[in-house]
Amino acid sequence: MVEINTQFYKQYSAGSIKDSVLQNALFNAQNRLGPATALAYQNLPEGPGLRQKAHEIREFAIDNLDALLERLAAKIEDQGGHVFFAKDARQATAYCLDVARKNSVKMVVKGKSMVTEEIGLNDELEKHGIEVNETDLGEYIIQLAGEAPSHIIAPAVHKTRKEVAQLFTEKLGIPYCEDPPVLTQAARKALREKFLAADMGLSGCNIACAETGHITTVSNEGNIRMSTTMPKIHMVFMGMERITARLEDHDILFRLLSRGAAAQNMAGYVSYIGGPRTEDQLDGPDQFHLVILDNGRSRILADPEFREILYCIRCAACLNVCPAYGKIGGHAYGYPYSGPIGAVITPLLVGINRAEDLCRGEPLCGACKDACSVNINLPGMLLALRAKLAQGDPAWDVTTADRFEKLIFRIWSLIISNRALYDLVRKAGVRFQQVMPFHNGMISKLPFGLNGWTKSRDLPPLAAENFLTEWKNKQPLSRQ
Amino acid sequence: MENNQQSFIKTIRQALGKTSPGSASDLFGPPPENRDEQLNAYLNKSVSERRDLLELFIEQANLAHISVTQVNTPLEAGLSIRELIQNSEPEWGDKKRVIAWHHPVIEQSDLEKRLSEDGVEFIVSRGSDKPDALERDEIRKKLIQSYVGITSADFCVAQSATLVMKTRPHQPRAVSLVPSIHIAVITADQIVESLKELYFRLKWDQEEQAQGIGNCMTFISGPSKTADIELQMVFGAHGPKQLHVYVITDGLTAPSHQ
Repeated sequence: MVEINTQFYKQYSAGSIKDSVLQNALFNAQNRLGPATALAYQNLPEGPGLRQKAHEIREFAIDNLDALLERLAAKIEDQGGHVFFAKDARQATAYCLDVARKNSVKMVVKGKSMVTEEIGLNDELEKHGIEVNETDLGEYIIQLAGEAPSHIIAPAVHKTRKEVAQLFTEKLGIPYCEDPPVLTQAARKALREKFLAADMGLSGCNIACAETGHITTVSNEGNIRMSTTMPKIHMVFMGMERITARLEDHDILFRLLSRGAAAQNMAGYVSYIGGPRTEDQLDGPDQFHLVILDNGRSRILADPEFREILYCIRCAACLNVCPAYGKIGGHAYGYPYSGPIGAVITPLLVGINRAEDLCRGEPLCGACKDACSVNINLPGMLLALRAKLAQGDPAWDVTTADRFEKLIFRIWSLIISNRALYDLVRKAGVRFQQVMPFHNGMISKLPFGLNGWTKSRDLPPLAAENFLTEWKNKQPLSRQ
Repeated sequence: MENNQQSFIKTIRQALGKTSPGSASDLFGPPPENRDEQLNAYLNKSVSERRDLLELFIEQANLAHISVTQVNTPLEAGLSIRELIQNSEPEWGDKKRVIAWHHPVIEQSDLEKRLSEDGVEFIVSRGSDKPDALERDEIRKKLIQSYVGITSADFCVAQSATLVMKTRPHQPRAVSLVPSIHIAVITADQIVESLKELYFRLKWDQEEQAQGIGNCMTFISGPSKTADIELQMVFGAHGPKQLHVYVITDGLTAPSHQ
């Protein structure tokens, strides 16, 4: 199982904000990718409205998920592939280990896959003596460094070239050099040997096609093609929502995925894979396994309020525009998924209380919704999560995070629903605030119990008169 | 290991509040009403439309770091490829080896003869009907030792500069992947405008329908690349560092390249 560290969100965030190297890296990444993606949407022949069309395609797929998965499985089995439905991470990793054991697998190569991060596959394989090689350059770097990915598509975005140079000198024994082409060549050489010697290749799945019975993989480096072509066994891990009904849906989905992820017209490589090598072919894997994972997704599916998050195609465009992500980075989220998508999906997967600070850290500015390649209402769901934390919800096993806060709000609702009481409290407040410390006409420090509010900002004072009174005073003529 | 498909699907169906799956025709839709006219329009493009597509492809290919060479015949392609091979060096090892698909257009290029004159080992990936493990290993070894891989393609999408390749016998997928330089030889009539046209033809053209997509269809829209170190673009991450496309135009020339 993957480690869940969502409870350290505040602590990790505070650390990130003090890390000037990270701040610089995040600023550069967002500055480059965020505006470029927005421009790429503008330049679509159909305009940015195409994202809504993609939304509808995803909605249709999720509404018919049962039938689409059945069709995919049947088609792949017809083509000689194996399909395994895994209820949770344990079943998925157990299946992988079982296939590995039966085929005496000693070494695997992996294409980048968030879902394998989610189920903690690498640790599980290594525990059983199997060598795991991440092959996406970013993933390879963080694997060498013993870290977790900090971005969904640029996992080593937090690493500077100096750090990579140091790391490669230590781990690959090459002379110290900070030049990205030289570093890339070193990784190319080291991983080429792994690709050619591996017993099994692992990949994720971007958007499977139910109609034709194919999974798809998308990459720019070619590492996923290597992992799925050269070893004798190919195993795919796919979150159950990553499917679409019709072949032509991929027209819109791939164009938006490529733009959302890297402002590209089209990713460098896309592969449709539907089964093992046929007997007349000269290469390709002899075995093809597809693992379809639930791991908490059916619970999200059952709740209409959150179902929409399953439309996500993991382009990571929301990370590249989010002011919170831009300050705290991916590791602060304490789970493989980060940014706005992480702040919504992680609590739904690991427990809303357990990840309670994630949805509170996001500013609800709406940038993520504008950047989303499939137009998901991320701010709406962040709000819905906050509401659950405030109200509690037995269906999601949520207990209200703070009973004191709830009490305060109950008292507040009593006050504002009673005019006389409200005026009384307001007048008392105006009088009481005079003893507070002021700075530039603002209250700079509230007393104990409320001082959290003024820790990092000042509070505007209550006006001497309420609006209605001022209205009357200021417009005596028109009132007559 | 016990497969949970039934209970898995049942859970999803319950979550969706459904009792039965929809019918397949609802899910995948009936053929579009204008299918035949649309197919006709796609398959019978005018000369000027085809010229425009060729130009669009060249323009997009340049943006995607693909070098495009227009030639009139496969023989001309062969001459130009020979020159490219004369002027390039293997990435791993010293011996110049080139592997090519067993494909008519590559055969017509006469490369086998020309390259052997230059002392370059030229391997054609022609296997038996059911290649056994030994035979496959032999091809694999040669493929790994080759620094140039030559393929053709099924289609080429102009708007995104995408080569589309189905997997066929005698045409290993790794030829476009493992060598350091990938060369694709196509004809101008294989160029389609958009992904939309591509999917329409794959789905509704009777010939394509009969073949199906197969067990592996690959889209290639440029040489292998990465930006994982400080977002600086580097070509040749794991796949080919260079991608060269030779378009046999058969007299058709893109307007701005005349």
